[in-house]
Amino acid sequence: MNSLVNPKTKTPKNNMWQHRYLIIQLVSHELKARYYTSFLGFLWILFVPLSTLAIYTFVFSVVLPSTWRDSGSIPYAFILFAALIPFNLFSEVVNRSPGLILSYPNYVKKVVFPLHILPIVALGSAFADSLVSLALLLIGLMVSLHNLPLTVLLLPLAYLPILLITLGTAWFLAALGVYVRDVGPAINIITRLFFFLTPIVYPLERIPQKYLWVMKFNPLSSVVEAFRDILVWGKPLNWAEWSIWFMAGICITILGYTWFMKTRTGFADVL
Amino acid sequence: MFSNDIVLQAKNLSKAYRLYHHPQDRLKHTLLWRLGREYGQVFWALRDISFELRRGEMLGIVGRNGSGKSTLLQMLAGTLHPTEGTLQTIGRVTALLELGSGFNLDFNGRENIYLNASILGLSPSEIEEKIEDIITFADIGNFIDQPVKHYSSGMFVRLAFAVTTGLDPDILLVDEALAVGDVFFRQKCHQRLRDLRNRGTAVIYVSHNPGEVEQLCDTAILLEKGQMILEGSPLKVVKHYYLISQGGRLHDIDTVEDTPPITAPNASAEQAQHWPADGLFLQVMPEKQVHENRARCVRYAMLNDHGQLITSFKQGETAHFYYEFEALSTLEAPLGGIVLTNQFGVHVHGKNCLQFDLALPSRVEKGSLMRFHQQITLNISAGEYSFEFGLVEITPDLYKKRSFLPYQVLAEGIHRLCHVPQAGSLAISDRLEGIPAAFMHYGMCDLPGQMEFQVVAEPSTSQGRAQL
Repeated sequence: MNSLVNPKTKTPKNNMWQHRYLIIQLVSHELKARYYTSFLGFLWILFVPLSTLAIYTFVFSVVLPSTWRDSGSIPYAFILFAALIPFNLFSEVVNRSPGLILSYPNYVKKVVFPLHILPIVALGSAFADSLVSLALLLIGLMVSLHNLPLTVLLLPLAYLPILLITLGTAWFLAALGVYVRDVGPAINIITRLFFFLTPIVYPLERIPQKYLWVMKFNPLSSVVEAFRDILVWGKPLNWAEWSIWFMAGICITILGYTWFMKTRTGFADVL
Repeated sequence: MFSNDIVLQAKNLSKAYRLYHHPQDRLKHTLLWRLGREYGQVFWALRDISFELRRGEMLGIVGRNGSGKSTLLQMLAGTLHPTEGTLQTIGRVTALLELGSGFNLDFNGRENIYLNASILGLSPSEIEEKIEDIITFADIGNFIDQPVKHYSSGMFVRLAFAVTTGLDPDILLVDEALAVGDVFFRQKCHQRLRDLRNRGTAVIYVSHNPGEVEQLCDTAILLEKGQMILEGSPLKVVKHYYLISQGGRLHDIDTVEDTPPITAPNASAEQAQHWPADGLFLQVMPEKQVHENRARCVRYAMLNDHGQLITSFKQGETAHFYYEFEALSTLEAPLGGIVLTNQFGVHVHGKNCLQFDLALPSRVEKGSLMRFHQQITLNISAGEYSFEFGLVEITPDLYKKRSFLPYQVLAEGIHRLCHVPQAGSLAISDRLEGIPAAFMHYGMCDLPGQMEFQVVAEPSTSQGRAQL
């Protein structure tokens, strides 16, 4: 079939690099749409994380102060915030995933659209949000502690496992959500469950020894701890755990992507 | 192997739908069919479609509702995957499946151009190159920076058409898309299609109007119940299409209400003296005309035989155009004329004073008005037409000798004064009854002619034939 290769134009490939402009454009527009069109505009990007933080701080350090004992000089809000950043990234993307394809029926039926980039776009905009929260946290830490632990430099590495796990899960759920409409509401419940199964509002030490294995199998638990370690406690990453979840993240991403590409041929028939 | 000209090759394309009772059965089937588990029932929407498309070629697809046209187009566009068969394309495929369906309503026009171009894999620099051309073609002014959800349907379609055709496609799929917008926009679209084809773009054109396929396409295929039952010249295919869909057509004609018969036009002498009341005229705005300040078009009226303002006529009726130019300087012999253009941008008819036996002044003083009354008997096929007015001046000597001079010589003495390119439009519908037959002619226009018939009885040959 060599004669079917036209030197003038390349046939579109399914690779992400080729769609980089599209991804950038969609992410930036999604952020713009979320903040630019509202009355308060970009203030929301600050307002949302700060208000959540205020609520949690009030509940878990004023109403239920017994959960945390020895945080030392570090305000409870920072400990909580450091954990919320990766968790929110995960839950925001995963909650949206089952409806991602469903919300763009035109992209499935009417035009040839690289559907597999939609989860990447969702991840991209959630990642941007998380960077804003992170910046807030770093500023807060600087102001109240007057210095940052050097381990902050490990942040890019700490992000890797959670980004990979989120992306793989998003691909899987986005495709599944097209076929099985119940996935959407079910995932909402599951992410809420994960919120309490992850040491976010309580320290890992509070978990009784016999339930600790649950935490071992919860990737978020390790990620949340890692963020807290490097941002607040100034401890390096737990390299053994990090490597395991990094490898697991790669596997989940590959599996999720394969699943998505395998099932996407049927999307147009269902919608 | 096949030649380099082929840009699309479909081999035994088939599409089967499984009808499921539950959406999850579909997933089960997708995952488990290899294991021999079957869910749902099979329905073949398309079966064994094979054809080729060459560079610059225009292929028409005709078929009744439900024959599989849209399914085929969606497969060609790549939004549906064929169940069986192979499809190979070269280069960029853009589709006008449903105009603007690739638009994001919250994006503004410019962002949507970027979005659509990026989907096709164009880089920002490639898009920069084309964006001005696209915006110019869409011609929607400042709305280009507004979210497309605030667009009127006309603007939406303009932009969508501009984007789809402006991205330099190698294959363009068009589905009924050109049936929208006013006649001027349609002409522009057809011009654009011609330009694209000249540059080598292959076009696949699906239409419910077989007449369009006949006029526009190089080849055509006829679909019926998911099968390709005929492939070949558009003429042959469209004829066959009428044959298989005749039942429905006869019924349509029966249900149409009766209309009064058309009265014969009044004597032309009487009409010439008559100039309609001011209220019937439409002013011609300065921005609608092109002139060099020597003459301008003031107003026009389009009336029927009864002197009524009208924009839709029946075939065979006469349109009376009254148009008025004002001399902004002293002019030589003025020639006014009209051109009728159909929706494909074809000039169907154009005539001016040269072709009529008119006595013209050799000089027109500044400030005087030139009033033309031109009658056109609309013996042309049903459809929408635009008309334009023009005024030129000619050296009076040449005008006197117009019968003896070739046009090339006349043309040298002609000087353009004013042109109203898109003066207005009119619609022509089929006659429902008439003498000798309601159906006046095939094709674009009715040409004058005569017909005779006789049967010649020649005993010797007829006997010879009978023996055969």
